[in-house]
Amino acid sequence: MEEKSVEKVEKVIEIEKLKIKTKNKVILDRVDLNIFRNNVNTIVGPSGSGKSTLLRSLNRLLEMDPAMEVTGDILFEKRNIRDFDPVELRREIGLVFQKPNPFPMSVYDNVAFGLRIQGKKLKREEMDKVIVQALEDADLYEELGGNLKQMGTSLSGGQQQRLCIARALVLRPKVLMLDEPTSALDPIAKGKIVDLIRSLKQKYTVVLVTHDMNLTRKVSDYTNLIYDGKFVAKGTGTEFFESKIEEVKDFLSEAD
Amino acid sequence: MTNSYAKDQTELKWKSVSTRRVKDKVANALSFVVLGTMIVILISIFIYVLNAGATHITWKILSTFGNTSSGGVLNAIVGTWMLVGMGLVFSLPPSLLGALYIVNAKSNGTISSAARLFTDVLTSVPSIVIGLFAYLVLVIRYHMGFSLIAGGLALSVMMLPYLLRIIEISFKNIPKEQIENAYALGADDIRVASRIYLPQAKVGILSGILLAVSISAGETAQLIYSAGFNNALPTGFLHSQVAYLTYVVWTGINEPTTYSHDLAFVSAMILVLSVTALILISKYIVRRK
Amino acid sequence: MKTSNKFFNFLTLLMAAVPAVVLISIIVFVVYYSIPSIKYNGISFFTTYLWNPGFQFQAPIIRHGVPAPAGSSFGLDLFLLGTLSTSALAIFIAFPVSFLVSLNVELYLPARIKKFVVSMIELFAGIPSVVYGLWGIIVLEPLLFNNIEPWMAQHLSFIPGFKGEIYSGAGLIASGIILSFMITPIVTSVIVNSFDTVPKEVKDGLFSLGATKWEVGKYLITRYSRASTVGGTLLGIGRALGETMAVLMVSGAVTNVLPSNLYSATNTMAAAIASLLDSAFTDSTGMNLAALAELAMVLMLIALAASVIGRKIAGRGALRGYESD
Repeated sequence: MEEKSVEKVEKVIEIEKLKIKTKNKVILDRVDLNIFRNNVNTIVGPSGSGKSTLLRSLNRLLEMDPAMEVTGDILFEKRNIRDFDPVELRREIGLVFQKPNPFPMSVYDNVAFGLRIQGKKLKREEMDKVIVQALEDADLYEELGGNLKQMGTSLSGGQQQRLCIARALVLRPKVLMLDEPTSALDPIAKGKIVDLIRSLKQKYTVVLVTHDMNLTRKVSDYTNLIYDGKFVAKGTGTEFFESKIEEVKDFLSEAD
Repeated sequence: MTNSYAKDQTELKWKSVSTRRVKDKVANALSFVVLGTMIVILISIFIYVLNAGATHITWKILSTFGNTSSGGVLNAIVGTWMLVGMGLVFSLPPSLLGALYIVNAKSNGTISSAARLFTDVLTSVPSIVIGLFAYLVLVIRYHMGFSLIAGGLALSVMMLPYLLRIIEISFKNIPKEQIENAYALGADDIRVASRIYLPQAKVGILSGILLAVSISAGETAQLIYSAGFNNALPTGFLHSQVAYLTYVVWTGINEPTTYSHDLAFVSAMILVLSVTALILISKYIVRRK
Repeated sequence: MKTSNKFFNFLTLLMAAVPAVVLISIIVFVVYYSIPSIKYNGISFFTTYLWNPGFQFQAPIIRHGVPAPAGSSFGLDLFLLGTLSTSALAIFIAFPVSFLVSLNVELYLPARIKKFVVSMIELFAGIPSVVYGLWGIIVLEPLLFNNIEPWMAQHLSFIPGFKGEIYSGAGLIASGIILSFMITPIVTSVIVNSFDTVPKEVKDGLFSLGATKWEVGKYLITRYSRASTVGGTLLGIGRALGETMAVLMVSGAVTNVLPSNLYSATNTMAAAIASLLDSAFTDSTGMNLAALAELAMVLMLIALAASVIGRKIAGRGALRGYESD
């Protein structure tokens, strides 16, 4: 894995002093971290440490839950995400959930869904091309043997996960956020996702949330640890694993 | 994996976000207006009926017997509850026991699902068809005459599928382990029914009964030709007609005198208050659980 | 196994069969009592709209071996037309209202208020139909007669049926409106319930692709929950077709006069059974009762078909849900 210096790479998302709380519980506090373009940015931490909540705050999905209070700033390409229409922001920042959630319709319609909502009408053959491309980017097209009429819900778990990635990719987001993409998968499907994440960063900026340190070692360019609701440490691929910070050592020993 | 990312040249153009927002806002506003209008209409009907009843209520109306143009509605109040009670007598045992059969894992699956299907279909029989059936079969063919029994049976046809379904659902909400444990400890079906199903589901059953009572207290079409009408209380279970509130509302409002209208308004108020109270109590006991 | 337990199980089996026995006996008896009318009237039952009880004190007429009062005539067309038109108007009002109300309750309304509003809608369903009828007679009919219908007749007269004389306010419009009040809660609660069964992951997925609430709602109602939407609507139609008292009170309960415009009095099959049964008692040939039984048979057939199909569609929708877990 190529080492990069933090300073030279362009920041796509900058999170400053982020705090997320409900009425009686602080979920995240004092989170300052950056997401770098065309890299795999990994956020690790024990389960329940608020990683998924962080992702949901980045595309403003979190604000649909009135119990959540968010303070601090999140800049997407230097612009505060509060200045975006959420609809637009979510087009630029795709989110794939931990549990695959294909819609009960064909693979084709699943992938086309975002485009039909967000995009101007395309000619049939253009639409086909765009959808095939998204499925290829998600490394699913070949596996389906071109059968895009089958129900998305009838695919295997790993295929469903990649279908959801294709569904997000079709909008050509600048950032693709993956929430624990391997947690529900068997080893073979996991392997495929690892390869996929590596290839995705050629075109997209990837934010990966996981507590799987094996996966992190394999794919992460920049690793951030969120521990007990607080942002604790960051580092490039190898740096992070050699960190002397107490929490990182604790977490790594627990995770392995 | 080496993915070449064939350059997708198709240019994507986005729909205008502001247009989509406008649509969203219009849907939001329109749906609020429609919901608001609906609630305003409900409340206005509610208030209208309560107000009309309260304006014309007198002690005499509440405390004396009468027909739809003179006297009071005490006979109709008592008659309504007698009919509803009779309906419950006929419909509760088969719904309880039938639901026990349906949820019992050892039952024949085909019979269970057939029972469920018939129950569902029975709820869709129009009430006047039940009324006509009650007249032709119970009142005439089996010589019951207009009576408590005939009226109660006619109401029970409506209550039965309703109760059975609610009771079945509350049985199903009981954790499976409890039932399996009881069987594992050697309990037979009677014991499991009396020690697990009934006590565990009693809130659900009670709320179902309250809802079934609230619906049947408001029914008319089944009763017109099975219960008849009576200026006093029925003297027996058979061949003695029964008064009920919905009849007073229906007939009273169509009669020319204002006193008949007063009786109709008071009856409607009593009906609305009872039905609402029953529904609210049933919700309350479910929530308290 | 102990005898007592065997007996108990047998008893539960018997009781589980009660709904079937009741339903089948209703069908069998209604058909049985219709036979004289089916024989006597034949196809004309469906091709005429005149309904006359005939003359009791003249010698009965015998046709196909069945006696009926002289001068009698039994045709359901007027009632069938009334049933279909009032139900159609009711669903025409109730469907968009239910659609928008469920959309609002599910997506736009703050969660705290949602429960309260849903309970309120359920209360709507609990109001007895005679109370709706009473409100219809005292409040709605005068409003239609004095204000709304004259306005419609004046300003919308270019639409066929909107032109013409206004009668009393009772009729198709009043019946359709009252029926729509009665079925809106039913349709709404079916749609809202099906919304509640949409997994949170799916809703999250829709929103994270950048759909607005309206786009999510439109998708859920027309696609994801389409089965429940259609099923609930059919259930509502079934209820409207069979509703008796409220319509009896506000329809004008006309016989033998076909409606000439939107404001004419009407009548429905259910209301006709309720209002004509009284006088049918006195027919010594029994034909009036038989004809009403046949009317009931047709009504039951239509209402059962609507709700059985509705249930089937809605049920399939529930099964079609989410297979990933």
